[in-house]
Amino acid sequence: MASLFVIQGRDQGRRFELNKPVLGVGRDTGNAIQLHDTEVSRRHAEVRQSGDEWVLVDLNSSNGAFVNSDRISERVLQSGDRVQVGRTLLIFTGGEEEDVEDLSQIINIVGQSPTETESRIVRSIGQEEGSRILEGELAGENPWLARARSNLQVMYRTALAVSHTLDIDQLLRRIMDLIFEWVEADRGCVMLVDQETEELIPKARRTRRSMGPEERIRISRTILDYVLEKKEGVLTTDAQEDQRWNPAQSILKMGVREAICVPMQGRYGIVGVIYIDTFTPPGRNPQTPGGTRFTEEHLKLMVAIGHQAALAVEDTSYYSAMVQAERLAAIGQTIATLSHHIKNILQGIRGGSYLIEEGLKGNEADVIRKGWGIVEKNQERISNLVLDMLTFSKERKPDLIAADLNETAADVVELMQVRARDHNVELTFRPGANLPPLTFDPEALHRAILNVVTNAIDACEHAELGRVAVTTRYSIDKQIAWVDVEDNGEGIPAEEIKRLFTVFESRKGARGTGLGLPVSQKILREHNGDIRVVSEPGKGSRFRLYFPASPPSDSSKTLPLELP
Amino acid sequence: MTPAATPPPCSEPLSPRVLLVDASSENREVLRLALERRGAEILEAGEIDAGLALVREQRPDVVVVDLELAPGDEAAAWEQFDQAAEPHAGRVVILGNVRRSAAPAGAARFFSKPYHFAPLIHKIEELMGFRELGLGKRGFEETREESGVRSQESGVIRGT
Repeated sequence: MASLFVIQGRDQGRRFELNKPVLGVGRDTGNAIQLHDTEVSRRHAEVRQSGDEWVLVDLNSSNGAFVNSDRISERVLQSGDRVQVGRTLLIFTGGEEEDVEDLSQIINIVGQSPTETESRIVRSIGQEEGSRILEGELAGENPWLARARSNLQVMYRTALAVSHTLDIDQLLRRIMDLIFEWVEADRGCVMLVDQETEELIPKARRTRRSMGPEERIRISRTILDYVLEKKEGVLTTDAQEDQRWNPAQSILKMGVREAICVPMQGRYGIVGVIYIDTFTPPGRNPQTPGGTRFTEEHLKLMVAIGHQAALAVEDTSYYSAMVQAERLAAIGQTIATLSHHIKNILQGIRGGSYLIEEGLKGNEADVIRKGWGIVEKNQERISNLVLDMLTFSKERKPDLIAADLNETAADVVELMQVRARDHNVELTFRPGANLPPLTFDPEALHRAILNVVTNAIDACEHAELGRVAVTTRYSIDKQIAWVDVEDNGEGIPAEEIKRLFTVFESRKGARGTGLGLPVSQKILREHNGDIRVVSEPGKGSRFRLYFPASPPSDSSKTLPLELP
Repeated sequence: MTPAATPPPCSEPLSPRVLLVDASSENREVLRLALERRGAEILEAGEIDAGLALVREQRPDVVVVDLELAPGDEAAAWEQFDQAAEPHAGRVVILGNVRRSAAPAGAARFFSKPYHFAPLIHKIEELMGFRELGLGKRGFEETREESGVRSQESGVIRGT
């Protein structure tokens, strides 16, 4: 579906799907695309569907609507267009799914087929090696070819730098380095256009080592304006053009400053400029023909580098907006899920308290007891929720001590008997006979087993004769201990098993927090173990919680254990 | 809403019957205990469909529905219960998280979660005693104030 994605402004990261024939853009709540931007009018513009196309229409807004920096009154949007209203910048993406050719019909990835003529690998080349093709001098190579090779190499490396980093500052520094390796510049800097103020802000700066770093770079405003307005790169020199003097003489006497300034032209506009300059002091002869060190060739290549850098800068801001959007969505989901559970617990506490109040009024011990039971149950629920939240949120090392797995499992089973009885489920424990002393965090493992047993009991809700069996075992061969929790409940369809451990995905609807199994899994993994699930819908499930007898002291990196 | 024209069935039991449709057995328990003490007969359902069937078959005097049973589809579920209870839609009490403005009718019988039990029980009592006491419009206005609803919507059914 076509969409508008906010990459800049207070709504950064929001994505608006174009799911209606007409969508209002503006500050008012009535707009499908509501923007929290004081420079946006209440009803600023509209996005209208017209056949397969989307049209942006300005509703005589005071600050206007812009597509790719042009003020428009009406404009058909193309995928990738940049829409600006007020201080908010949005990227339009068309919904052109239908037009995509099914390439899988044309391109086949084939396995080994003895009958057909096969392509074989003659030579392979790694990413790193790619740039080396461009290196090395060939004997007798002509200067033009050498220069072309060097130019190609700097482009290749720029492209590589662009594809390898998502941090703008780092990227710009890298590009500056590349430029300095390739051209004899004394000073250079990259300036980016600030998206709020439209001022040029210096971002990366570099000087040749022989020069004092404290020297200020003075750049002529006239040159910058020319570059930004004309979107052209310029090569400047202060060498006397006056023919009355011999140019070489003037250079010899006063020295000459040359500069190249190029726009960073991206897909949607100019994101900044790159500037380099060089100074030939009096008395030194420039080596290039024509008496200068910077040539038109340098300028051309700088324009290309500027373009590459601009694309990277644009991608990076798009990327950070996306990251922001995902983060916001995740936080929103977390808060929504947790509020929901807390609200339900609060509801339970209110119910229990109400019964207590009623019982007190009529002095009825029975009602008071029932109310108290409900309050206690909800107190337990909130304590479990908080503990699960803490376990899940913290990066913590298990508190490993010598402990008895049978004791821990027995504790859980005893604790859960009440719940099992409430649900009409028979809960049994068969302790393993040959369990050696193990090293684990008993409190953490208690929680891990508890969450799994709770689920097992809940899974038996609709079973006629619900049974949950907890078993402990130890494999001497593999030195692995495990706890099995088996139920004869409803079972889990195969396609849902892999989502069991996804946080906030509960199969218990409103009753589940979606934290239990992720927490159990986290605890087992902290013990270098894991949880395996075998389940058959209609028959029941088995959860196996397993971990090594003595986890290695440096639990930095261990291979996942084989399933016992 | 039009006045209820149907006379009470001849075989009407003495105690008013209240249907509780709520996924949480705990909430049902609290309401059941509180309402039984007030002389109500309680019917329970843990799912929307079972609840709707009971409304049609048993014609309870009051229906209490927690819309959390129909996540994402609250307004439609509300509508369904109102329709099933016709012509006594005014005796459907709704619990949940619906925006009041999205409520199809009768914001006065809507309790947003987490709700307090006292005003809810009060409202159910009112609706239960409706036919015998003939409270009329007054009863509704009282609760509307209690639950803090400023709406002019009254959702009133006049008793016979």
